[in-house]
Amino acid sequence: MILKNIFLQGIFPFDGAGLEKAVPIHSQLSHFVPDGVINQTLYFRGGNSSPELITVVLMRDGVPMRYFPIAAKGDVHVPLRVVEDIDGGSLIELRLLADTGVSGSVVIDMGMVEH
Amino acid sequence: MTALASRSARSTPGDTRRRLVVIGNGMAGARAVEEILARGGAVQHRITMFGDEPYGNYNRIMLSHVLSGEEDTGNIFLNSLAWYRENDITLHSGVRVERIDRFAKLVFSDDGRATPYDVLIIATGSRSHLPPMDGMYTPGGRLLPGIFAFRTIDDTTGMVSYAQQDHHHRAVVIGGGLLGLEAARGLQSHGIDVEVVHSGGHLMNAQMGPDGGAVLRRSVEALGIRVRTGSRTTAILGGGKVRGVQLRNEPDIECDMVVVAAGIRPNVEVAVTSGLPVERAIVVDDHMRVPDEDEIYAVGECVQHRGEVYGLVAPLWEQAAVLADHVTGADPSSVYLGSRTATKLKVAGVDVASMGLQAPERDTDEHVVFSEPSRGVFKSIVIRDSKIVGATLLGDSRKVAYLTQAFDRGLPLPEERVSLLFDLGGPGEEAGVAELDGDAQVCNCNGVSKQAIADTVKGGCTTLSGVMDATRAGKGCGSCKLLVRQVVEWAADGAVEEDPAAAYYVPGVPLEKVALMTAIREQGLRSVSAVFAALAPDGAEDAKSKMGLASLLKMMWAGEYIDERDARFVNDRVHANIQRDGTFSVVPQMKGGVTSPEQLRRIADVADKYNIPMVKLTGGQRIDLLGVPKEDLPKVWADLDMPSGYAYGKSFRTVKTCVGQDFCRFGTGDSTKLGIEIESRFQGIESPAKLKLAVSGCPRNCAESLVKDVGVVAVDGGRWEIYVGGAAGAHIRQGDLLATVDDPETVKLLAGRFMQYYRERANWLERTYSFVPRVGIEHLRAVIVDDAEGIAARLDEAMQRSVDSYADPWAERNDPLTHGQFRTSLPLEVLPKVPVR
Ligand SMILES: Cc1cc2nc3c(=O)[nH]c(=O)nc-3n(C[C@H](O)[C@H](O)[C@H](O)COP(=O)(O)OP(=O)(O)OC[C@H]3O[C@@H](n4cnc5c(N)ncnc54)[C@H](O)[C@@H]3O)c2cc1C
Ligand code: SF4
Repeated sequence: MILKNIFLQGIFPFDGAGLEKAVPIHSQLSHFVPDGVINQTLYFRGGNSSPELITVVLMRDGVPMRYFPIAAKGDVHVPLRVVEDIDGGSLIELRLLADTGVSGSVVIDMGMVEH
Repeated sequence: MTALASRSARSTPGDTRRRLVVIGNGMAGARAVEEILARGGAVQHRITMFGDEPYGNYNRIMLSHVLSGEEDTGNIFLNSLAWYRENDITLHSGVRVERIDRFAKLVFSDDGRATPYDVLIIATGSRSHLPPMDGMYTPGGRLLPGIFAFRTIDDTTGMVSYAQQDHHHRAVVIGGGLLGLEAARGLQSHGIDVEVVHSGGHLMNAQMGPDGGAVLRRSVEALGIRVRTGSRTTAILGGGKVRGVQLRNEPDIECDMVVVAAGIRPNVEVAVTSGLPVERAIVVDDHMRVPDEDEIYAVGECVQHRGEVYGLVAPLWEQAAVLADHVTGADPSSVYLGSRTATKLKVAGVDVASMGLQAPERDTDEHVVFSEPSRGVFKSIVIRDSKIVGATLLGDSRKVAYLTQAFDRGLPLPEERVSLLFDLGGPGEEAGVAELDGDAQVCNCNGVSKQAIADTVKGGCTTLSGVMDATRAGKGCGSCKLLVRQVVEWAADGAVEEDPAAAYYVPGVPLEKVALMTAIREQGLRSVSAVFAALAPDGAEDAKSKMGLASLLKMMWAGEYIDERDARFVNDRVHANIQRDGTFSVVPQMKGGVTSPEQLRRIADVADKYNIPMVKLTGGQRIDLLGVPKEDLPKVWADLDMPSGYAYGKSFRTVKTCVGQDFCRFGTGDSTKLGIEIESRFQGIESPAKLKLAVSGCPRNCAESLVKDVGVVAVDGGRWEIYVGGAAGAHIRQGDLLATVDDPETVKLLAGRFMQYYRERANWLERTYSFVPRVGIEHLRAVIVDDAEGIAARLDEAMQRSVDSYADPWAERNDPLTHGQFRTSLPLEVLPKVPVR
């Protein structure tokens, strides 16, 4: 089986836009799974420099799949053991939920594998 | 679940060996045990294996061959049940392990057993991935009848029996990877019309890039398999059983069965339930040990090592060796560092090899490509810093061994890159083999190195098949057979002995045809059982050899042959052609395709009287009455009162003719008359395979004489041309000109002499289109026309004896030779119906 590792990563500044609607963080944080391959997310690591709780949301085709809350000035590491397959043709994206007025930087490193 | 107290129950007093339990009796589990035994592990361990399949351990790779009917399930077992017994291994087959108690060191299985262990190996492999689709399952939660996965013996035999049912004609295979293509090819051999629906942009996208995929597609389509790429199946249609599939943005496809080959998923449930670390598969370290567990190992497709999960057998051989080193303590420093997988496979008959990158990734990468789609050949190599980092080869695997080695080791490459793809006056293939390292893998499927083959040869085994049996090399997908042969030749220094069995006329009697015939003649063996008794090892009868022997004896002894019915195929036992639905077709003789109103009237009456569902003109100019039940055969023949047309046997069948001289404006010879004479003379004679003839009245060839086993064409000046070895079936070949002669009598003489020579020399089931090129038309001309061997008179005489002993088999109708010869075999079970148009 030939595998390809894919990472969505970087440090991005953000300004909170409310907890109702997840907003895009950066265009780098989306990935289109090509037709004919299967994608699985392997882990999520995140850090939050702001003094409030924020939540990173993993979206598939515009629908939330997983929520990763990160505490104020905290970090998380979530190993996503054998999660569901994401079929080719889907759009994977990380978005952010943060209260209005909250701003800071979010550190993101999400690992995926495609085969 | 009540746990049996088997902790003490099974341990023999005084047995202080450690208890080794293996979960999963597949290719990796069994291999690990073999490696442990090879390191003297039996002294240290009392071994127990669990496998949820109700069989011993078999070669999963060979399932493709089982599906295509080339191999029997009985022949794919790697370790027989006796092997487990001899090695004192307790095998629980058909038992599934559900949970491990890591603290109590117990394994719980679904038969209520609790088995204690000191060392545990998990080798649960993977299963087919069934992507979610609407309509896959019945309300009861089972797969809809007609949907199959392709993973186990049961899957495969299920598919075969479903495909063989009469009313199943079309299949859709979901997934155009290795397995999907294998499944498609296999189903085809059961007469199923197959379409592959693949969601990727090109076939085998895990192994190759779009260009290679396009060439592969051409090769696959040339086999008659339709391919749809970039298509996703969204639902399975049908209520009680499969009726079709629904695609996204495309029209539905109607079909009777669906094979899902959309990838595999590791079997990790046991590990997850038992709290072992699982990501995409069970995590192991470089010792194949599960992290933080001293006594639990895992191996095979259920394992994730350094982030990789492997779906091929080659890595699993390396893993099993490392695991065994640690379990037995043979080599505590042994480590597994991952495998660079180079796949070398035969997919649907096409050689495919791929390794590393599919295409260049950096600006500085070199890319050497050669593509010849019409021949199905594609070669692409990606080079970085003068090292191979990827290669794809399709349709030509000669350079694979060298490339794999260069890829594995990072060998420096020749300046002239093109020599990587072709042998350009460079060292020949022989030298290529000599250059390979000892540990270079020759057979990936069974993990056999060049050294292992060389050692076997040194050990005294010098036939190709002997080496293959001893090492298992070449017994997987078969793509490496050529290389195995080269290595054997190299290791034996040219002293390879030909495997005698390859030349046997029938497998059960160790003699070539000519020697066999001599022995039969000298010892006067007149029946099949007499031949077995006299010539087979230990006098053993071999079912696969019976038909061939029966045909040979009948040819040799003509009227003196002692007929034993059990030696015959059902067609020959009842003198009719068995059809898909178990009924028979009856074809009366119609010499040269000429009939009379009286004959037609009688056929029509019989068709009415017996409700014959279909009356059809055959390609050989006769009338076929289809759908006659076995018990009606004698009555049908009696009412027809015509001789058999031999539409069933391995025998002379028919002579097709054109209208010829009398009626046709072009005819120069009386083709019809000659055709009838030939058919009258040779009717019913036995031969190694069927014989179809034709006579045409001029070179326009309206009777298609050039593509017959023996074809005759009238040419100017009253002369006749005789062609032999033509075919127009699955194989197409124009016959070779044997001779041009002056009169019809000579045509009959030479045609008869040719047929007799063919009967004596051809292999069983070898059609003339293979026989003629094999022995060569020059040789045939010399023997048959010029009598170079001085055997012409004998051949003519032997043929005459067969002609003289002709008896119409349909005359047997009033006097069945065996009790129940014509008793109905229907309906033992409800047979599918052949559609009647
Ligand atoms: C049709 C086909 C063709 C293939 N062709 C090739 C090829 O040409 N080349 C190649 O390299 N590879 C090929 N493969 C892949 C190859 O067969 C696998 O890589 C190999 O079989 C993996 O071995 P394994 O022991 O890890 O798993 P398996 O052979 O699947 O063995 C695992 C066994 O464990 C059993 N099991 C699972 N869970 C439990 C449990 N809880 N309790 C008890 N038993 C359990 C399973 O039923 C199974 O019998 C092919 C596979 C298929 C299906
Ligand atoms: S082969 Fe010649 S003679 Fe025979 S039907 Fe055709 S054209 Fe007429």
